[in-house]
Amino acid sequence: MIRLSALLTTALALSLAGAALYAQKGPLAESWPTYNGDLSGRRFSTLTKINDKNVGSLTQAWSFRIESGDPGGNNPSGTPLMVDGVLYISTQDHAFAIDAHTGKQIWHYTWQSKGARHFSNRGMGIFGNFVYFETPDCNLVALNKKDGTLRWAKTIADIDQMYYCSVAPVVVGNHVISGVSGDDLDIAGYIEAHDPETGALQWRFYTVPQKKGDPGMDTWPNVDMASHGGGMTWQPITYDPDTSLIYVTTGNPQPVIANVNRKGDNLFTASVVAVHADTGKMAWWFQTSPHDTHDWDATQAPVLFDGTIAGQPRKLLAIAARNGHFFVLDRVTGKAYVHTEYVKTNWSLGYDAKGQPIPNPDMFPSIAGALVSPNQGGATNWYPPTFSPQTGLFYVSANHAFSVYYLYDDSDNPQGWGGNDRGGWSESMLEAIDYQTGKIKWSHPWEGGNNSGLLSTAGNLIFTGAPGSFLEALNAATGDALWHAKLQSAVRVPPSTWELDGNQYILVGAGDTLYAFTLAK
Amino acid sequence: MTRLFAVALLAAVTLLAQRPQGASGPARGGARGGNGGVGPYDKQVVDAAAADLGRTLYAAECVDCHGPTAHGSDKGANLVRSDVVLKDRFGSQLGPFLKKGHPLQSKKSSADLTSDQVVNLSHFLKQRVDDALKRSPTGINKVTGDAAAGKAYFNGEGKCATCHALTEGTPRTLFAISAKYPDSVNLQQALLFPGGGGRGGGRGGGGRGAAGGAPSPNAVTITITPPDGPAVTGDIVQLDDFDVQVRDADGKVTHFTRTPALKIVKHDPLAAHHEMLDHLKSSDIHNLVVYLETVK
Repeated sequence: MIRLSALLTTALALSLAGAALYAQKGPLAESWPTYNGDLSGRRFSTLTKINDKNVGSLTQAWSFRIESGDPGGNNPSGTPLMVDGVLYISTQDHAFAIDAHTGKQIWHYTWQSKGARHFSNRGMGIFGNFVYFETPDCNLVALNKKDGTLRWAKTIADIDQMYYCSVAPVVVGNHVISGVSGDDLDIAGYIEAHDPETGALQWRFYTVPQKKGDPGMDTWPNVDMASHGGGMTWQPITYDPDTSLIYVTTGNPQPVIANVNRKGDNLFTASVVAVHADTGKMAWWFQTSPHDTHDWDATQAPVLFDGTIAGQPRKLLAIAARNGHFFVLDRVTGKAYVHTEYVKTNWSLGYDAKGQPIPNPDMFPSIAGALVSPNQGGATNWYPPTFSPQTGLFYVSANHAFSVYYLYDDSDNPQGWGGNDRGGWSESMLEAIDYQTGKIKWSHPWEGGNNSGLLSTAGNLIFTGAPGSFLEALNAATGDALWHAKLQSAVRVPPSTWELDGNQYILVGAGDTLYAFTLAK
Repeated sequence: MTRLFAVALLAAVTLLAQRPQGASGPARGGARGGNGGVGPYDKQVVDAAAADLGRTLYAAECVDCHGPTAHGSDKGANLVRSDVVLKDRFGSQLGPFLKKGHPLQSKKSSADLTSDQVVNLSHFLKQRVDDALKRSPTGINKVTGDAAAGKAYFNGEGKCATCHALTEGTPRTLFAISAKYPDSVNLQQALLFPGGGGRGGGRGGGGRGAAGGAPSPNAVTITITPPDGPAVTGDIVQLDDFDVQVRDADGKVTHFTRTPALKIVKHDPLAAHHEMLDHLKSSDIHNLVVYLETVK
């Protein structure tokens, strides 16, 4: 049924003088060279040494405690890169290289920050001899990967406008793709492409219109609201070398909750947007939450794979959005093949002709409060899903959640948030979704809240964090729990895998510590 | 401008710019720099007294065009989003901007504003920016609805009356509950989410936990029935995909390995509340709150 993606093998044809395009080698096995492993966002490894028959023999190989010297710099949330036996991981204002054989630190780099919100850091990118990360004060920093010395740093956003930066850069061809974060004040989202060698800006793509005549301007009341309309880009992009398209997912519109002054769909917020890698020009868009009023950004991973829809082979993009809806799109045209809920929600009135949810105005935040599902945290969030071409299933950490959304600013020109949600109740589960139908193949309920990124492998396994500070392995086909190990705190760094010296490792992070597991000898 | 009108405008600026701030909304990290770490470390910290002086000047010279909250109008720019204001430090940007000449309500020259006036204005505008960054209640929230419809829901579709009486002294009574929750929003929250939970509260919450502690009427308990032994009922000490530990009424903790043959039944006193969330309309809970406010 599934034709294995040609994404990565096609990329082998790409070349760049003197530089290795780590992320475009494949399939994933002996390295993990981007946030999601490869450029498809599948987080699927072909490794099978650890499998559903022997996973019970997994044992801890080593652990590494991050000691940055800065209380805010010890807790990573991005998946470490692993290239040539070295792990590269970043935290807020810090980057580290770690020997993947032993868990011993090789180097540590510290950025002298000028401030901004220190909320999270999602990791690094790599290209040739350099590694890249973003700092909270919005610098894209290139380090020499051998010794962690500074190669260059470029300011990518203005922290006086309350931007901060957190996303993992991704290298596509000769472009380092960066994104921006922040929804405290009304500002515009964008991605940028920088020269990997020099850091020179190549192009910038705004996710909201900046002037009259820009695409999407007719979905905003005026240029001022549009050009300050949000749409942050705090999820790493994915990329298809066949189409040369970058897939960007965008954040919520601004103001976030109060919305009387931004009537319209508010394009291209809460959307999947395809952008030409070499020009920064938009190819197509699909909005997962038209006129969002609940902080439901679409900044969940846009996962690329090839499959079959109605008997026809298709190049697909799947996303389980924070608003509780699952979409399968044609990644060449943006056409929706599948749109459905993956958890029960209460905020929409069906789908429009394009397959986008139609928001129910009764569920907009109000003075008296609107009981809405999902809550602001969402049916899922930043933590990455996974897709296994072996099972044809899309796996996502999901929440069936409720809260009440209140309006705090009833003026005719609110700014910032102007409201918030409060209270709530939720239940968490790991869901396996049939990409062809959107139907839930299996759902594994958790005995507590759980927000973990995922990994699938050809060993018929799903790795995830589990309530109670566990790393857990499940049967990818059935959802049966097979193994778990207790960690010091809840999984924050999503699991990844790679092979080194003939051994397959599972790497995960919790709190300030990375843990590497392998089969017992 | 008449003096009376000027006083009214100043009052409007004061009112709109000083709405009461309640409990903070969900924190989203942040460290140095105030406002949860938003903005640069060297950002201007607002001097409230200077901001008050700046408010007076703003009302006299700026409010007609830029609006009471400085969010702009058809006649003037939004100053909260202004790069001049956002990059300003104690008049460093605002001063040179006004020195070039900018229309004032009094028709005086903006270049004649004193340094102190510019600094005061800077503090007032920075205060407006800080207000825009807040995500906390402003005191305007109140639940409104139809008490008669709430009564009908209580006794009918909502099935509230099957568990809750409205007479004093009965178990689970909701008699005079508005005395416990005089704020209608707090009452609404208590009715919807009686066990708390919050973001990620998850299944099986509300128990006494591994360390015991005070029993909660909302504690989830479980009954474990192994294939070859007697059932055990008690508090949840541990419940995950592999291990189950139950503390019975005598305090004895029994361990089980979770298998498909191990029967687990949860007893959640709030299960009905959780199940109704999928069906409850906002208007139902609004009406219910208003009705229960009348039961005193």
